[in-house]
Amino acid sequence: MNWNAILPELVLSIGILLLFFLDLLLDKKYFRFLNILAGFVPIFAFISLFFVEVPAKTFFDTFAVGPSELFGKGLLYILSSLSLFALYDYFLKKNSPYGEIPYLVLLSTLGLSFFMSSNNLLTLFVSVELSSISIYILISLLRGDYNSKESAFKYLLMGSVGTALFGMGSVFYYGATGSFFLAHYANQNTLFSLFILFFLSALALKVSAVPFHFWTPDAYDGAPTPLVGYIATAPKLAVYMLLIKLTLLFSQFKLWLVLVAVLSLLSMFYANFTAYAQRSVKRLLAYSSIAHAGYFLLGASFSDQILQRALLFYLGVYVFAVLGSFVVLSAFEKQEGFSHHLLEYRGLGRENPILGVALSIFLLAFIGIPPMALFVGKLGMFMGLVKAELWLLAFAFVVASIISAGYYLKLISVMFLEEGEARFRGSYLSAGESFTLLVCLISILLLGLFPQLLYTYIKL
Amino acid sequence: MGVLLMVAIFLPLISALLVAIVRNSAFSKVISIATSVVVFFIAVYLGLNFDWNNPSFQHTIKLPWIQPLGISFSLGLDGMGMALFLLTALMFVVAFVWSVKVEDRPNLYHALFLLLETACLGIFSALDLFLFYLFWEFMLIPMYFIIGFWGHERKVYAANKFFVYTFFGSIFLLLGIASVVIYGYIVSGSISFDYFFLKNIQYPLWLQLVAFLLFGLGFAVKVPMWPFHTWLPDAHVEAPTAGSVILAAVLLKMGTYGFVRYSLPMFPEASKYYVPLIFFLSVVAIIYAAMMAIAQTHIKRLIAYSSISHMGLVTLATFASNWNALNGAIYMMVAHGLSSAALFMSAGFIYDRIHSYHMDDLGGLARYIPNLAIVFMLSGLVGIGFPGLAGFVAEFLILLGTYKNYPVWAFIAGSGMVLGAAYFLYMYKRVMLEEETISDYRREKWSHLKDLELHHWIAFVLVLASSVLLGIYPLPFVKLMEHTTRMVFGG
Repeated sequence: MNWNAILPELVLSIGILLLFFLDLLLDKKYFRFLNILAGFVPIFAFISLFFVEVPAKTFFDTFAVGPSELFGKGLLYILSSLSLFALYDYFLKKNSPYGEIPYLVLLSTLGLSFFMSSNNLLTLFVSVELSSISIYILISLLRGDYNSKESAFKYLLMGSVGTALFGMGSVFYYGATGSFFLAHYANQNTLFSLFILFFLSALALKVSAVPFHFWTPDAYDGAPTPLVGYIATAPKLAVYMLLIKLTLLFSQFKLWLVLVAVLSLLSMFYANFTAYAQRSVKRLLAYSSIAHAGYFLLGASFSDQILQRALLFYLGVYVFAVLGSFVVLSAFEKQEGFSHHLLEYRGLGRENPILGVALSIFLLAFIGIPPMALFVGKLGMFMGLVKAELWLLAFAFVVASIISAGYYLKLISVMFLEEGEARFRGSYLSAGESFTLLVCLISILLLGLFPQLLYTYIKL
Repeated sequence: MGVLLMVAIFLPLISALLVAIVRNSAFSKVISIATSVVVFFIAVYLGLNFDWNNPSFQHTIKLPWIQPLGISFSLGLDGMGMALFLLTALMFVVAFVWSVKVEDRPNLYHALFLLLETACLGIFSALDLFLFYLFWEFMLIPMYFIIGFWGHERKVYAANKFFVYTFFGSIFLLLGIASVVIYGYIVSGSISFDYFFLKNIQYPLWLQLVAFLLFGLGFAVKVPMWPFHTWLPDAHVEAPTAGSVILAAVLLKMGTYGFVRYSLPMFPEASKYYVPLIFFLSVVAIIYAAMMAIAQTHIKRLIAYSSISHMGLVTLATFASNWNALNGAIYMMVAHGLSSAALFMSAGFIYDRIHSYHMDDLGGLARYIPNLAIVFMLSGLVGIGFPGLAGFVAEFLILLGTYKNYPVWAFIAGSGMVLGAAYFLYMYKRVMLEEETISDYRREKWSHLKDLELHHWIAFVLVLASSVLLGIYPLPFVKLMEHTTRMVFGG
């Protein structure tokens, strides 16, 4: 038993237990304290990453850590910590200071952390469920809010379908290879093709790629906004890490390329067109994340160093933009009666320049405008796709990016340029929200100008 | 010298930050003008120290930046870059001088213009494709907000249209950059965005044909070439005067600059292959835009169409594979920058005084604001290529060169210039001379119109004096252009 390999997970588990007991003992008024305390747990886990010796395996080789796992986990812990700092004020304002929130978030992080290291379908299954079930509960934790319950239920239903697909895929994998361990496999047969089909569907559902995206807009719309920042980034990050692992193993199969290409093309174009019809900014961002799922899937279409490193970089900066934009949204939502309708954003940028400018920077980053770091990710993806000679996919990416520019701009122009009295005056930021927002902004701008700060840590 | 170049580029950025921190309108105006003047003097100093006999990029500086991706912070100027750098520096002085009376959110206004200046100067001196693209795209953000905040009635529409169109082109450009970099990587085994490295690679024909189109789309939208031109009239009509000046004088040059800097030397075979296509689009732009200009009653829209027509001439000459034509094309970029800026300033002045751009609301203004009538006429003459002014030298060189290789195309292009004289004189007649159409009420109101003020004079004199200088003493400037031409054609 190699305890060193699971050091960060141990730190997380201890933190979770501690918070669990503190929640039992402490009164509701310590909610803020519990959250901030929980926010430090992933930071300690992050520090413990530096003491993990790689590569290492444990749990009968089902759990493996290498440099790429360390990268993914580091990013995951940062996200988790930032989300925890950003969410307490919102729940206090919404009168739902449930003490379960901090340790549920951590529990989900723990699941995802195990997920990133698993190279066995069984442990993958268990860890993804640990994370998903925590998130189902988290979404529903908004007192007296019908939408929150409804979206939790929708997410639960769709998530169960995903679980079923995941299980089916695993079964076929076992049928084809006689093992649950993910390893190179060269024979092309029906069972293996079925594995690819089902397993990719399950993962597509997790990253909300079309046609498995239906839960996304509803779940984002109803869920507590600061938590959306978490569920839109952390689980997806973990699933993409797995996708990259699978790409390196299985992308020599023609079926893999075809399925991934179809999923990504559908996601890009469907979501980018549908986003124009949205009146709710939260749904708009949900469709934006579906479109991005399409972009990211392109990076999993072909096994190539440049492509996968570009994907990881793109992903690594994208999550900060998403988290940051949902922090801004949740700050807006703290106002009484704010429902994220596009009309309510009119003039908000002028009334509240800091939040408005921050959100605009994130939106421009989504479009891919320098010096925001997402443009470097886009450039890297182009380079990878060109190198793999997937010109058509590269063109599709270009066209989809162009289509997407319009709805991001619409939001910016609504916030700043359109005339008319602003209905809402904007609200203040709590200390935790300011910190999260600042980290997101700085990382987006800094990594755009100096991508090597992140790029050198990306290893496959 | 390279350090000086870098200082010139980043000085506006620092001033923009200062403006954002201090937030005092008087301070913003003073520091903007001071910054742009300093940058202009640096540009002049660099220009005087430019050795046109030395056939390489000058005032270069190269700092390590993003080493894992082979990206360096590399700046330098050749003849064309120097000329456009000077033009940009001059135009921002003009724009800031013109804007001393801005009252609507002056701090934000000046900060955005300063950011824009950094981006524009950077584009003309970047020698690394990553850096080039960074400036190229970053330019969108300030310009978007300049149109969106200080525009007229349909400003939001125009700003969004400007952004989406330009982004449409530049994302293809990004793909083009990615493809040449990857080809360089396959050939040499290392990733590099360095301009010289990528220029010296022999690209296979198929890649040249693809990459030329990808780069070309990015540039064509900016030029703008027909049929990607429709954003320009809207953007110009809605933009504030200083925004129009920069848009016409500097931003439109980026596209043709890109053709000369990147497309011609990097994809020589493709540049020959696509000559019929480019010529067709250019001639359509020259004739169609000139005819559209004749049909306009909105003076800014008319000038915008005239810009499209003139830029068609530039793209035509750029690809005529002739020494003189390319010299003329680069000369035309500068000359058109000066003339269109002066025309937009005249139109902006008329709007400031009379609050209309429509010819139906105007007429006989020469009686009420005679000084403007003079500078307006001069600006127009620069544009239509009157001898002794900058436009003449440019058009002469272009026709001379194009006629040698492609006499038919040259003839058609020449007829476009006749149309140019027609629409300008028509506009001048309607706005300045024709008195019958205006009502007595307007006569009464206009009799108190204030003519050009000091800051208007400074702006006009700067632009028109440069046009005269370029018109009567073209030798040093042609030498500058030739510096680039020699690099493109070799020898």
